[in-house]
Amino acid sequence: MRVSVHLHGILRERLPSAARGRTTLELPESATVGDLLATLGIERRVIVAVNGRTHIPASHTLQEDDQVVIYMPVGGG
Amino acid sequence: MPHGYHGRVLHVNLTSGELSIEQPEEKFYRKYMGGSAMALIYLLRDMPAGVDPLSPENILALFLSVITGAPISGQSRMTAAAKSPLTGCIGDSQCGGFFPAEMKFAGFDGIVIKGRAAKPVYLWLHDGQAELRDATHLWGHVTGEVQEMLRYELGDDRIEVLQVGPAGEKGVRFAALINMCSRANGRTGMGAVMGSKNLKAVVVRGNQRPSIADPATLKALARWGVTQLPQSDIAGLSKYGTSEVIGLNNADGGLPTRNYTSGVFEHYEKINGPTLYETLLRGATQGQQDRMGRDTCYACAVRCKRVVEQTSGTYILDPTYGGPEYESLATLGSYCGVHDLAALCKANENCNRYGLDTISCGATIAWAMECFENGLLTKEDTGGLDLHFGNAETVVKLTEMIGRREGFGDLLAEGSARAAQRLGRGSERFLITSKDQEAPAHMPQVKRTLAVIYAANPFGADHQSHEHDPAYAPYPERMAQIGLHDPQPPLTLNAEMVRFALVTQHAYSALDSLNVCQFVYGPAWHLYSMNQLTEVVRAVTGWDVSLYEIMKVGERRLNMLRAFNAREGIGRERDTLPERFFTQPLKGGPSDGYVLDREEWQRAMDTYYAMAGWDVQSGTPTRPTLEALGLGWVADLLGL
Ligand code: SF4
Repeated sequence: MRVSVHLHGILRERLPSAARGRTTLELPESATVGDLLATLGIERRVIVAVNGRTHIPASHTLQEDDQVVIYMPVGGG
Repeated sequence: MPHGYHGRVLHVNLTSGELSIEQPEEKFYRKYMGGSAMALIYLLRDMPAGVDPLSPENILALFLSVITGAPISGQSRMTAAAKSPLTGCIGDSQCGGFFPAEMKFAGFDGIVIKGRAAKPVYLWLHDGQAELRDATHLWGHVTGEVQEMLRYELGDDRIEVLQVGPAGEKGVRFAALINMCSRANGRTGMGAVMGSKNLKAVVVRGNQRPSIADPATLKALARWGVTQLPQSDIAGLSKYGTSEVIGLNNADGGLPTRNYTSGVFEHYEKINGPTLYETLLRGATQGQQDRMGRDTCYACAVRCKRVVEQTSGTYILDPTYGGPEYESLATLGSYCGVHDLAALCKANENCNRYGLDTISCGATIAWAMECFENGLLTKEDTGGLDLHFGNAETVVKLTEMIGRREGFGDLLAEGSARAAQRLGRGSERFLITSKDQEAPAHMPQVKRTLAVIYAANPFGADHQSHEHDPAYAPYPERMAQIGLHDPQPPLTLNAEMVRFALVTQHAYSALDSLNVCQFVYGPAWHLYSMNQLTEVVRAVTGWDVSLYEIMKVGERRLNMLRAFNAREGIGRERDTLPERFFTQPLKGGPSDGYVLDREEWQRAMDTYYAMAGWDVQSGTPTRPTLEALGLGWVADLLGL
């Protein structure tokens, strides 16, 4: 199954800079948000949005063509 | 012999020209620690209620803390407090940079300024000496020029200058105090207060570094921060500056767009941190922006400050004026529908050049734009300016016109609430203000406890007065340090979230009393935890201080701020939110349809006052609450 992933802020550095934080990943069927984070090697505390719904838990099962956005819970500024 | 501070507060009477030094006892420092907790003692004790904020009777107090200037990240900050000409409530604002530490090295912990000079003056503090000097030749000049003139005049490039620009001279109600030409005590119009006193600048320089009680421990704490930084959750601030928050808030549906009608900006990637990093940061064209495009505050390893430069094109960008923060990019940018990054950098530069708060400036322009879009303002009113959302040129132009109070800029210089009153025509319905202060770029519709804090905060809507909701769940160990153990689902505004708001408000209030940076210290994603902050205070001062004691300082400050308003006759009736937040659902993106529930919010406010120990009807502190904080003298002043 393929999902598109958009990483924000410092998380972008997991991908080559030309990708500008965007990539498409092939994941096993019934992979979860937690599996996706592990694939990306993200151990930081992050917020995950799937298809425009924010704060999706790690246990959530992903679907083909899901659009996943990952960002940090940093407030202020 | 105190450690960390001098035990010297300077009193300046500008009317008489008299300068005197007070030497408060240790108890004063331990009980209040610094910032507006200290400033409010003078504002409450020495100033009557009801003074005109722009009159000589207003007191402007500038305070450091007991740890300002110590060699560790995130301690060089200073609070300015006075009655606010924007809100009529207490005014309170913090700045960073090198000025705060240098003021400490000049030999002073705080400055209390009264009266009005007969002609423009500046205050020159150096190695324990203080003098007032003529500033007639500086008056009318923009901040970059004044800094250069003072360096030349004093023959020293290492002076630090805190000053008002032309905006403060002309009484723009959201005029800022500017230091380093790029750092601001931005909010609540402290620049207008200083300008009204004919005080152009405070200039500091010195080598009087207070001793550190336990230098080895402090050094170990400082080193720990430097080592942890790359793995920490503020690594992004270090690399991209606060402008990285554009992407984060947009992803969350919380980036105010076109005057808070939407939480997503379709062009956000044109104005976010990575784009700024790749394009306009100084050195970007040579790939040297990490070295040349970042700046810092005294002794801070994070280096989150930006410097932009552009030598050709429509907007020439002068690196003297630094670069834009998240709030500046959002309020002048998405809030106004503008996505021309160079224009936003120029607008930010103008705010620093003239001495304007970027938040109130951007939000006031956004209000005017929505009025224009709806026909409440026309080109006849604006002197021919096109104020449609998205007009970058207009935003840049208006920052200058407001800074000079020129043409249509003169109306906007009053702030959006007063401008709406003057304009009428139903324009109040587009105001995004609490206590007449424009709301920053974090959205209560998305982070619900902001709905309580924006309304209840004594100095108007503020995003740096408590922790934001998404940080409760991910940091259980740090939250437990301040007694918070029970995060709630997103968009919840129940009693537990009100408790989260109030307890973290006390924590942030303590940060603002100790004058430490809220990116470096705090209860969640920050570099150091609240317990580590306690260790820092112990190491610097040698006091056997506890986190309990530090939290109480925060609560004490909050009650003093609130008591100031109570004495002005201001209470719960001014704890309001923009009507739009309750009636107009956001459009688009993850926050599509989000709107606040008025009854739920009112219940939350009741709970908040009760938890704070304040009278629920009036929203003001009670005598027992003040006495429990050792503030019986404030209860006496209030006649409780
Ligand atoms: S984190 Fe940024 S704002 Fe805070 S002290 Fe360091 S450089 Fe200054």
